[in-house]
Amino acid sequence: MRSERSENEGRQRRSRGWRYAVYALLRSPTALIGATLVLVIIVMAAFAPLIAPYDPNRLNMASRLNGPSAEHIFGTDNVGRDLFSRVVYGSRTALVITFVVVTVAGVIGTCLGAVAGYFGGAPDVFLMRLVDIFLSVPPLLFALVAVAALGPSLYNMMLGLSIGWWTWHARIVRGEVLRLKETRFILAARALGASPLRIILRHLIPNVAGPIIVQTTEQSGLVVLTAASLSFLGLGPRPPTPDWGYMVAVGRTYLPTYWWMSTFPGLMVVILVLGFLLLGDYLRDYLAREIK
Amino acid sequence: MAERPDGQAAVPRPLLEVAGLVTEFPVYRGRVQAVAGISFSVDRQEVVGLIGETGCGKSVAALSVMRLIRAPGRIVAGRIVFDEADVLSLAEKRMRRIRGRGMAMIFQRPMSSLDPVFTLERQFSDLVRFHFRVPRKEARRIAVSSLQAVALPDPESLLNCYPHELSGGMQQRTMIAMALACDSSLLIADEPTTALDVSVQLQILKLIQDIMNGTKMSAILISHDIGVIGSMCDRVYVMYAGQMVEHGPVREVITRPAHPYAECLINAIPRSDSAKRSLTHIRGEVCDPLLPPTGCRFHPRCPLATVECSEQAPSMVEVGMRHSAACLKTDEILSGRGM
Amino acid sequence: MLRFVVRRLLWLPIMLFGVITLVFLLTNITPSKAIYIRLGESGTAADVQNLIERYNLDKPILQRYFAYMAALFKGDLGESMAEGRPVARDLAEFLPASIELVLSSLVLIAILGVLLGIASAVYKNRWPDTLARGIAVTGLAMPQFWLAIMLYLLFFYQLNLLPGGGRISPMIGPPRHATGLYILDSVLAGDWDALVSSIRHLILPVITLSLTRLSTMTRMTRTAFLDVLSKDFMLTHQSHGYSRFRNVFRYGLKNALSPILSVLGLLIGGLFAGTFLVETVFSFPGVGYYAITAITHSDFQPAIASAIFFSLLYGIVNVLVDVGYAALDPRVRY
Repeated sequence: MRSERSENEGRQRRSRGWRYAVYALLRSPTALIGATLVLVIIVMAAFAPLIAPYDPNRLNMASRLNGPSAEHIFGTDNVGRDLFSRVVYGSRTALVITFVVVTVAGVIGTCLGAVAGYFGGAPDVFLMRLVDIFLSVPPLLFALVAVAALGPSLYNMMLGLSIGWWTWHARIVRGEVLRLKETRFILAARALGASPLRIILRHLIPNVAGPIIVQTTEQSGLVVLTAASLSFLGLGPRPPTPDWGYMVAVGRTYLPTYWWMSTFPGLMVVILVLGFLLLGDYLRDYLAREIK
Repeated sequence: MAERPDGQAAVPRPLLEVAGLVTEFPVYRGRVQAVAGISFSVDRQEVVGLIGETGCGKSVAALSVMRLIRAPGRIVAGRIVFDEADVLSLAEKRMRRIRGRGMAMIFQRPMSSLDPVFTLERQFSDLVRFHFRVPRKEARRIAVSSLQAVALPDPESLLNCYPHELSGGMQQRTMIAMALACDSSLLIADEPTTALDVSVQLQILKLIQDIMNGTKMSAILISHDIGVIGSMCDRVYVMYAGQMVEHGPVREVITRPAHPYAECLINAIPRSDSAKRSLTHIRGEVCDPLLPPTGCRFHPRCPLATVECSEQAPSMVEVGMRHSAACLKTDEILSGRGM
Repeated sequence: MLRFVVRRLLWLPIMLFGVITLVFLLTNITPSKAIYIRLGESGTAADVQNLIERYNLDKPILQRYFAYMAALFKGDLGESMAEGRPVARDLAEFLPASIELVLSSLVLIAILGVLLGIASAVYKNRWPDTLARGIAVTGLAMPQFWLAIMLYLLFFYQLNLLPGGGRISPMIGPPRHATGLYILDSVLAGDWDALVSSIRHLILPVITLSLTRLSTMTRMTRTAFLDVLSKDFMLTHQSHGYSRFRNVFRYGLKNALSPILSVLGLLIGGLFAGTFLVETVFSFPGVGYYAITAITHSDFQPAIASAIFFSLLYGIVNVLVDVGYAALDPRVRY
């Protein structure tokens, strides 16, 4: 009887399962809009070769700086490349950055946070000090430093951004682990002789999945924004890799007459970030309801 | 006393008359009728008790009387007449004049019922100056005398304090003082002592009693404690699952309860002079407010229940002088059988 | 309480030190173009050599670092290599513009954000809530640089309603200087043309700065109000007969003030950080613009001086926010 109850506590967050989650998502306008926006971009990235009408890197000086038209939906840029195709391929860059940064930051942060929370004592204190230091600096600055030191490139930017964001995960995971550490089912696991590694991996982390997912989604939005800002400043992926932020920067010198070069790439950023933000908002509300 | 045309003395109208009140709250799975058709009245200078277990709708009833039910909850049916005015049809603006002035309410948790970022003086003067257009000095004077009326020491300096600097008992006294400050006719006290220490409880109850005796105020005293009701009230109403099940003079109801639930409540009090060794309890649990039982709501837990009880919702039956109960088995209970 | 403040302030020098070193490295890693900018086309090799010696550009980096730190301790902020003007004077000139920009944005965020947040809380889950949150989240999703460009395109290029850059119309000129804050100065001097022109030039930068941060304010206000409105004492206020409006604005607001003010305080740092981008796009002559120019030219003295300014500002504002928090809520005592 006792162990059953403890086991149930262990399942406290996984109360309703995937089916219900999807059902609830379909009923919320916020979630639907958010999910749709993100999905559109993902599809764009996945099927880029099929969607883009032209080769994004094909120069055509004869038709440079043409406005939106039937042949070129978004117009052409300063060297005659089709803007729409570049924007479509740019979605790949954006998503790759987001995915990598969020995964790396998430993995590092979760591991460190879980370890610190579980073991407490000296490692915990050390980690918290570290987190405090990292937190007092905005993530943009980390990326800035990394890029300035190592040179502008896709990888350096991703590195910098990951460093900027792991602390978010660490803090949340640590908090949750601290909270869960004293619950009955963890004590039961320890009494049964489970090693700390097993406890962390099999029991703690799945239960922290909820907050991590919320964090990750919200973070994705901000990562895209920050990455765009960095590329705008010229500190991101180098051409010819299509990158939305960089495109806006290039387009800026052709303002105001050739307005489409800055407008459309930026619009894509808004769409993607909005999608992530709405999803994150919805997930956060959903999780709060679930816990009740 | 006014004279009626046929020469008989007219009975004064009650201060508060509630008939058929139904208050609903929409919840995720449907609609809950927290108050499912209750009627009660309070005469002038009378203390009426409202007793029932947690969740039976007592507080919702009180809030409904003051029209403090917030959306999405709604009063969907009934009539409330206070001081000859039809409360439910009043414009909100008129209702605001009545709240705090004609009727005042004190709550269960005084420690969280006072605004923490304003001094007592400010809270008093806001209240008094809202209902009576008096200058600040006058408002302060009224505040001081109200605090004195509730036996709080050194009102002058107390007024400069913040609520968290006071003890629970002092906070509750302050709330009572605010009701006095506006010279209200009706005080609604929702479990005023439940959250206080036992020693303080007696003090507050005595204070309320003194005030009732010394002024023309009426009161509705809500509690789940029959002892409190017994010592303080003139009449009592017993509620269960959103409905009135019994009402009458307090002595009557306590010594001769006519409804099984009321009888269980009263029997449940542990007494040192009783021969029983174990505590009596009412078996079963309170019904699901979303799906109340058919017929009489108490029938699943009632020792006297028969088939009829599940089919037909009983109406109030007079069992004595101003004493009624809503049960099909009142005869059995009163003749002593069944328990 | 004093101990608390002192403890927080003690952290500042350490942070400053870190920032100074960092920016120094950043701006000295690549060779500086600043002196070439200064000399322009007409510089001779001798001029170049002069300047190199003057600014120690031929010395090893560590030596330059110590030399700079030594000068810094004496309070000497150095000179801008690109312009040859003392940094301290430059800063004083550019500062009021940023202050005006940030202050105006702060006011806009405070008023608009709080109103939207209150609407959101009071009409929870109904259309004002959705609308308010929609505005806020959309604002958050827009990259500032893009929003700036869009606003510029729409209001300047298309509609020709608002100026595209600068701080005041060059034909009108700045009002008589008292504080450097053009709006204030115009009012003081009675110069209505300057007043109108300054305001018109401020509108687009302020909107750009504010819109993206509105979300934080709205969200925090909403949370704070939802919390306050559900408290017991709000029921007491209602039972006293006060109107909804009064309850929300007179009693709710003061109770919700602490978190709101903390957010405002935190936003100040972010707003100043935003000046980098916004001032650059709108050619608004403030500290952000000055700093970015210095960084792009690898002009390390103005860059570091700007960095010091921003860090100090950030640190002090945070302490002030905590102090204010304690002062507002009589229950909080350190």
